[in-house]
Amino acid sequence: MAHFEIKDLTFTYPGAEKQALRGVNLSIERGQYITLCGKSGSGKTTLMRHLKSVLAPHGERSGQVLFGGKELSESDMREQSAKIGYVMQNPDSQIVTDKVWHELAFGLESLGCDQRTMRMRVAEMANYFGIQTWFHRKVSDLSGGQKQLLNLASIMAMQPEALILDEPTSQLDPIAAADFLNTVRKINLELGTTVILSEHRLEEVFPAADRVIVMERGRILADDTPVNIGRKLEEEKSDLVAALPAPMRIYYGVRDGLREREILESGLRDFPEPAGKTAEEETADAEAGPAGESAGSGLPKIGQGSFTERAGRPPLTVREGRSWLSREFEGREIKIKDLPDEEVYEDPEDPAVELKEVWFRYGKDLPDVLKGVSLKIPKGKLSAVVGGNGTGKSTMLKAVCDICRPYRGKILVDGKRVDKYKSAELFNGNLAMLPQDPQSLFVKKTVLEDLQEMLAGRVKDKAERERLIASVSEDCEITELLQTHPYDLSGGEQQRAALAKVLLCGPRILLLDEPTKGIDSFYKQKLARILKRMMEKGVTVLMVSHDVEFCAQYADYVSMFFDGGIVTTNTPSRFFAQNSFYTTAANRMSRHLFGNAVTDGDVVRLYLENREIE
Amino acid sequence: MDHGFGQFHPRVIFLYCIGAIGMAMFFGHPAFLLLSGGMSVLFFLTVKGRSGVRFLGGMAGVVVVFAVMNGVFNPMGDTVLFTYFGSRTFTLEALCFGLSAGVMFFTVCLWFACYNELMTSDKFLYLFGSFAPAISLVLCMVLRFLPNLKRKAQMTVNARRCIGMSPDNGAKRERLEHGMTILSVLTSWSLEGAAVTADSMNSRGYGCGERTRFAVYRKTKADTALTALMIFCIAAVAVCAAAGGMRVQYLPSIEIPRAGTACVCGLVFYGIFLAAAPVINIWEDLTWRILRSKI
Repeated sequence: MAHFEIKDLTFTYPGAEKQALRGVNLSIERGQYITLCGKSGSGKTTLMRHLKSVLAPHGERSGQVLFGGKELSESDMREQSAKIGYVMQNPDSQIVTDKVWHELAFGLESLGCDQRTMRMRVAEMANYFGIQTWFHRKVSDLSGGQKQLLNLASIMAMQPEALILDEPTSQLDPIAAADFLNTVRKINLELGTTVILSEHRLEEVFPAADRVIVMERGRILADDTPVNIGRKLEEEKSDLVAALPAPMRIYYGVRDGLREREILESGLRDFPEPAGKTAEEETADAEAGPAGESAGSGLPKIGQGSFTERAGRPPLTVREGRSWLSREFEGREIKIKDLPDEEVYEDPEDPAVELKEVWFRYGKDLPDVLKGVSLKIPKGKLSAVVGGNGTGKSTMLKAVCDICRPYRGKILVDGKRVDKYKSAELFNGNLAMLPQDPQSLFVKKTVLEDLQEMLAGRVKDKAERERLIASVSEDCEITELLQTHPYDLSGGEQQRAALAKVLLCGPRILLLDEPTKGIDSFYKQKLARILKRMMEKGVTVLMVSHDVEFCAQYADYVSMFFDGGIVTTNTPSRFFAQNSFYTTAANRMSRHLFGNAVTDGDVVRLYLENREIE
Repeated sequence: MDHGFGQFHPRVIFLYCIGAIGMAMFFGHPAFLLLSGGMSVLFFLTVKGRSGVRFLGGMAGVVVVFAVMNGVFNPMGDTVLFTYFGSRTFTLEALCFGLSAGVMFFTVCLWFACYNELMTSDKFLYLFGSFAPAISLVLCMVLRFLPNLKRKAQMTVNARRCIGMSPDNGAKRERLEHGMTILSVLTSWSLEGAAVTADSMNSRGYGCGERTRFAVYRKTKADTALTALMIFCIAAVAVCAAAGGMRVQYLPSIEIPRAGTACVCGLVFYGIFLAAAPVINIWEDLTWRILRSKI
């Protein structure tokens, strides 16, 4: 018997014209690990909420939801509370009480468990989740990742049969997110709990999931194994391809590249045999050069069949990706190991922002957060600062904004000390920062009003104001969202709306604090486009981030922040190629073959160039 | 975190603190004042460590101010020390009365400070939660909500500063507007959060029947023994007080009766009661030191 069975579920929110769910049919077996994906607004949350009666939204509904073969609404609330666990997005608001131990016991208290059972279960969960060390702490002292783990643990204490998680990692940094998803995986493997998880970071969940369900506009678009889903998304050229694991994207990138070339070639002439021509290879190698223009001289036979058959299924993890690449190049010599070098990073002569030996701490008796940070930010470039959690990256940005005033050292913005600027002067046309939580910038009922607020005192002419808002909304691709309440936007939309608001300051230097936190790959590409547009207008961008992949792909320079200071600064390919852990999936997957391939594109390019000259 | 006396059951701690505070407020007899004052200092130091010394210094200043002020404002008393402003008198009795009031104030303050250190919010809630489970849950949610709200307010202000929307040197009206904006943000933010919290509570079975309470505190034999001892001491002191052992008069003339049985017994039991906590703390400290020296 299926654990959950959904039959013909159709649902419309009150007052809405469109149906939020349209004829959804789904059957979920006990112990399965299911990932729901789809763009925001595709009905994931609505569907998941229907799996628990107390959370089911109000509205017009038809169809059935069966839990263990029984109509869900018929099983009483007590049973549902215990058997179906539900974890939501926001780690903070889900927590009810003020102490960790109390939160762990909350569900058990509600169910009216006796003292002995509660003691046992709480102890068990604290052990399983490694909470012992912070068992007596206040909830407010925990990090976001710890809070979300606590939410999970307090639900697991009720020993649920099924666990539903609605984008649980969207507000966590990548390390905490990976940790959380590993725990979920462990629960699924070790306890056999059914897991239904919606997630936009497919990289992490794809290898773990038994089945992936893709939703679009309230319908189930596809329901299959991760490998097949990847194939389907790729075939349909869906936007979600960007969210696939890097090894999979590289695999498809290579395949497309080969196919393209094949089509090109087959139209021109027959394939020459790729045998014995060592001397030619030497010259081809030399000629191939960076751009790989000497295509076609010795193209091997790469019929569609030969590639896919040999490769088997597309790789999901870095490990599979590595062995796939090794197999592909087995017995072949790799001629081009490195991409042409970018220019070496040198400290700019005339930096937009300069930090000179900056020291800062939050209180007299507290430890130093910044310990002599020195950094020069070149004009008109995208500089990224990466580094671990809570190391002081955000504090550094605050120091540049003059919110945290250092007790030693100097910060120069355009050659002038930042504390010598008047606030109005500094933030009007010079500097602006997008905070980590973009929501804290919204103060009005609609996005439009929020944008208008920025210009109220600054620009007198009404037509000019409208023009500015229109142009910035277009830049940030939020024109359709202007009438929406900012709190109703998805993570990526909020980010862009907040960015629009920040841009209305007309900054020449833009500071971004974790701009990719909680947004999916599709929106990341949008964000990158926006940033590029800004830089074309001469804006300098400084961002701090955890997002290695984003920095590798889009930043001009990357710096490593560690122990209160900047350790090193370099171009992304040099920076990440040196590291073996703190680097991109593409690099980890290809470092045994290629020297400096950092992004997916790099790996695909090197692969194709190498195959070409054979 | 908690050690020594702080590890005892919240009920024991509560009884001790309330007993100490209550009795300190009633006994103006100099011997009792000195005993209570001394014990409170001792206990305060064992709880706070060296960082408590500054607070003690400040409080001692307060005692002097009390004594002098009472002398200045209270002209009653038989023994005139000196006169000033022509006819106003400064008497020994008023000074002594002020001194005793000051010491009493000092002691009560110290006991409260100790109470604060020992009875954390969760212990308090644990104690009174059983009388009013709903209120205790609300209280505990409020305790979580307030610091959150403060943090969010700070975040919003900072975020707005970084886009030049702070009223640092704006006019009064602008500042008022800014304040209102922040307030309205906080309102919508907390409503938003409350909706999620409600969902989270519902989904974890809140309201589907009788709630029980998880107790992190366990009662041990030591707790029971200490409770019995303390109740016995309080009763004994009360009997001595009823017998008139603590009678004393400062105004208009100082009259301290000769120490009788009631007074001496009262002192002994009062001393045992008050000494319980600091002795436990010091004992634990010593045991540690001895253990460590053996290792």
